[in-house]
Amino acid sequence: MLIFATSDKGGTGRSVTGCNIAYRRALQGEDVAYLDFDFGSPTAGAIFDIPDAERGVSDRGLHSYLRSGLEPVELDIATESNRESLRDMPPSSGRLVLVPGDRGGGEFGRSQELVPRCISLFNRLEQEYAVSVIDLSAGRSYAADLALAVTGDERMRQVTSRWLVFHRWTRQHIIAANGLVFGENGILEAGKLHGHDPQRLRDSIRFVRTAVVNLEAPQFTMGRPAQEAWSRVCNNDLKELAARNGLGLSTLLGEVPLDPVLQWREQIISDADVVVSKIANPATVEAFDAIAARLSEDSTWEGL
Amino acid sequence: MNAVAPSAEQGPLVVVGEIRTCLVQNFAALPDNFVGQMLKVVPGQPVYSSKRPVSHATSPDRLTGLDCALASYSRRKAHGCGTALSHATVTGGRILQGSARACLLPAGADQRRAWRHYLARPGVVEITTRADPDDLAEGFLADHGRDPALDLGAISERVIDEVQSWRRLDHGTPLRARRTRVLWAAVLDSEIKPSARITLERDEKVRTVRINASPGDLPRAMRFCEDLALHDWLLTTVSLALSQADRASALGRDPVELLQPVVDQLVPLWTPGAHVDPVMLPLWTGLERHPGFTHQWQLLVARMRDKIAYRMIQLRDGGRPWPAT
Repeated sequence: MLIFATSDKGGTGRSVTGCNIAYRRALQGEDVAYLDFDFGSPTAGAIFDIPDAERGVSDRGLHSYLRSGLEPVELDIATESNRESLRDMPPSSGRLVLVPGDRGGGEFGRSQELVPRCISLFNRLEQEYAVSVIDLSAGRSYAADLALAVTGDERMRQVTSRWLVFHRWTRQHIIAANGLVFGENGILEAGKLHGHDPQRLRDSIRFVRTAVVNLEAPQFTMGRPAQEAWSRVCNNDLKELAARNGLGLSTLLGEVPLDPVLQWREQIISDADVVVSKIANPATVEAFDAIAARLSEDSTWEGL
Repeated sequence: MNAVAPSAEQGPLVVVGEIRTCLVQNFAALPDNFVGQMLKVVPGQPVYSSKRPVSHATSPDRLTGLDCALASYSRRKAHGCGTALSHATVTGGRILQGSARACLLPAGADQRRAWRHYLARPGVVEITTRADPDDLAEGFLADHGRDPALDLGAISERVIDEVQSWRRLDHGTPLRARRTRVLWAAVLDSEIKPSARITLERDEKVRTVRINASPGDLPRAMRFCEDLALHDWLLTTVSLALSQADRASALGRDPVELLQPVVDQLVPLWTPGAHVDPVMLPLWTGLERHPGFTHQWQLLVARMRDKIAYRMIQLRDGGRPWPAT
């Protein structure tokens, strides 16, 4: 299964959330590959705490592969990461590998070889990994267009592809996420040009809300009553706005609460961060776990 | 198309190769007539096939031009120019291999020659620098990390990609499997009995084979390496499926879903040495003694069948979970 992670704006926490979902899926027992297709800024290595790949690798990253066919490296998180909790995943976990981008790769010109190269890469990963998470850069990037061209190809029709659109829980982000999917040159319109069936493509897109403020937190329930009331009104307005923009409950895959660990240090949240050092909130891990499980839940992805 | 047979007066010669093994991208195993059509990657040349004990087909050889650095164990610089030969094999309509090789020969001249010179000697890479055969063979086997000089793996991958893009495949994935690599180097010297040194544990996906044999044994040695790669892949894939099944049971999921396609589609393909020339069979006998390929295979297959049997008992008893193993 291929999971494409995208967002309209930067700063949505797409990469850090995507990495955490991949990590949780591996903890749930499946072999997972994480592909850094954010060619302008490949930083997944920093999130997984791999010192040699913090800003991409010096050679044999995804960028070199797409440009010249050089086989990309696969970094096994269990051996490459500096973090103990990532190296010591329980035996019931699957393998988690990062296929990094190239340092200083940048975007690149279109060439006829890119699509077939990408198809053989995705097919090869599909043979080995139960889930491949492909982190596309923000907005209507070339990576996103490439992903649509590849998944629209005849050779990929048996491979399940799903799209996660990350957005913050704010007015601007809701409107922007709507534009990315339904707007001019959006995913649906571009997908149609690449031979996708519009209804099927639409059914394979779900939204993930990030940095969502928890209104049940003591700062609201035990703070100023006026602030609490106002916050509830705002939240209801956002819910209405989301529903009007096609981002309502039926297309929602999950909500990630606002968590200082994600805001200040984009990192993988391990169970130890919740239970031992207690720097992260249990609700954050529960949210990642639920989203990871829903990636393959057929009931979640039924046609709308 | 056969590589130019090395002649004795040139001294020992080195042939290096790389084999990649994976699943044919199709939900079910392909019938023989489909395999024949799929492997016609070089028009006009026949596909070689045999049916017993399991079907096995080999595509015609094709040429790839090379002008590249060569790895040497001593890290002395070497350079080669010429062509590599590559082909695909399909076993049981299920397992696909891309196999590329090149014979490294000293060049007659220091200068690079016109391409027609190299094209007339298919599968030969001429070394334009002084190099010791052993040094080149060991260098090729050692340099399997980043930036390989002579990248035969990339040529094998291209063959696999071409075969996998055949329109009539459904591109489904019935089971998860890793793509494995076998790097081999043969040093061919006058009439000697074939011997081999095989390294299996260096990396999860990479195996190396060093063979000593007589020049006439080259095609047989290559065939042996392909057979070894195939059976090593079977062991790797079944071990992987068993560990996935263990994880699935530990997490309360049904392991049979993962094991059934393996038992159904891969177990019948275990026939070590069946497509190998008798001259090379002593090498297989050695592997059966140590590390004991068939012995390990039988243990793995028995474990898979036990797991399926346990599940049947569990279902008979109303689906109560049994202790995770």
